[in-house]
Amino acid sequence: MVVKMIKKLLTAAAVLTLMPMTASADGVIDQSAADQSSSISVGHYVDASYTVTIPASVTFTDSEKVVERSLQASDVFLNEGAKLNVYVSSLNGFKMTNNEGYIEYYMMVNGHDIPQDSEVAILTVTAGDNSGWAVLRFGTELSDEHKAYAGNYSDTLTFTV
Amino acid sequence: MDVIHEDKKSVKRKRTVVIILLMLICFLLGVMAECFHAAKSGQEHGGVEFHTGLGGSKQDDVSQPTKGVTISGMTQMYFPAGETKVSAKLVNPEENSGLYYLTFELRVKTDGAYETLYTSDLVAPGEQAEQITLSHPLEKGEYSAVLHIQPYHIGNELSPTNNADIPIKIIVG
Repeated sequence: MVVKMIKKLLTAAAVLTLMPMTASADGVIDQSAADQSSSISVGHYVDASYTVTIPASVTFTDSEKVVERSLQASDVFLNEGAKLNVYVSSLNGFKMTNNEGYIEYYMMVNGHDIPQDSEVAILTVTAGDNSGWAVLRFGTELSDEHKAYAGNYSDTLTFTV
Repeated sequence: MDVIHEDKKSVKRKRTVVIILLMLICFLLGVMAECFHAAKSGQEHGGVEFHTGLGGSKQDDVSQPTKGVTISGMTQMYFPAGETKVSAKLVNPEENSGLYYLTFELRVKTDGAYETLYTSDLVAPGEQAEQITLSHPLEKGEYSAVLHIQPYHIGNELSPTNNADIPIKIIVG
C-alpha cells in the first residue's frame, strides 16, 4: 500500500512538471498558483489630420475684376494645444504675367488687406474646433502705368498648411 | 526564278508593314507624352488668370471652374529604414470627382536643402497612391519634409491650378 502511495505521488509530481510554470512577473500569470492579477498597457496613437479646400482658380475678365472665393478647413483633428494655420504665397508677387507684360492684383481676407510679403496666417483653426473658413476677395485694375496687351495673364498661388 | 522573285516581294511587303506599325506606335507614344508634358508644364495656365480683350461674358471663360480643390492633410508619415518601397496614403478625395486630378511630390530636407524623394503620376478622384517607391532609402531618424500637391483641372487639357504645400514629419524606424 505504501508502494502504491509512493507511485501515486511520483505520478502527480511528474504531471505537475509537465505544466508550464513561470514565476509571476509583469503581464505573466502563474497558472499553478492561487488568484493573481496582472496588467498590461494598451495604447493607440492617432495622428493629426484635416481636410482643406483651397481656391483652385481665380479668373478675371474685363467686366469682372473682383472675384470672391472661400478657403475652408474641415474634419480638423489636432494634438491638444496645436493650431492649423494656412498661409498663401504668390509665384509672381501677386502679378499675373505673360510674355507681353503683367497685371497686378490684390487679395483680401475677411475684408482685410494681405500684404504681398505677409507671413500672417489667412486661416487658423485651433485644436478642439472641427472646422474653419475664410472669405478671400481678389481684385485687379488695368492701370495706365502698367498697360497690358490683350491676352491671357496668369499667376499661381500656393497655400501652405 | 519566279519563286525567288515572289519570296523577295513577300519579304519586302512584310518589312513595309512592320515599319508602318513601328511608326504608328512611335506617333501614339509621342502624342501621349506630349499630353502629359503639357499637363505638367504650367506655362500657359495658372490658378489666377486675367483674360483681357474678351466680351466679359462668363461664357468666354472656358479655363477654370469655381469649385475649390479638396486636399487631405496629414502631419506625419512612417517609413521603414533602408527601404525604397514604402506604404503611403496619398489620397485624391472623392470631393474632387469630375474636377481635379492630383499629383504628389514628396520633398525631404537633408543637409539643409530639400530634395525630391518621390513624384507621383496623376491620381484620379477617389483613388490614392498607396505603395510608393522612394528615390533612395532613408536611415533611421526623423526628417522634415513637404508634400507638394498640384491639382490639374480635368476639363481643360489638364491645366494646373493653384496648389498646396503640406509640411510633414517623416519618421523612419
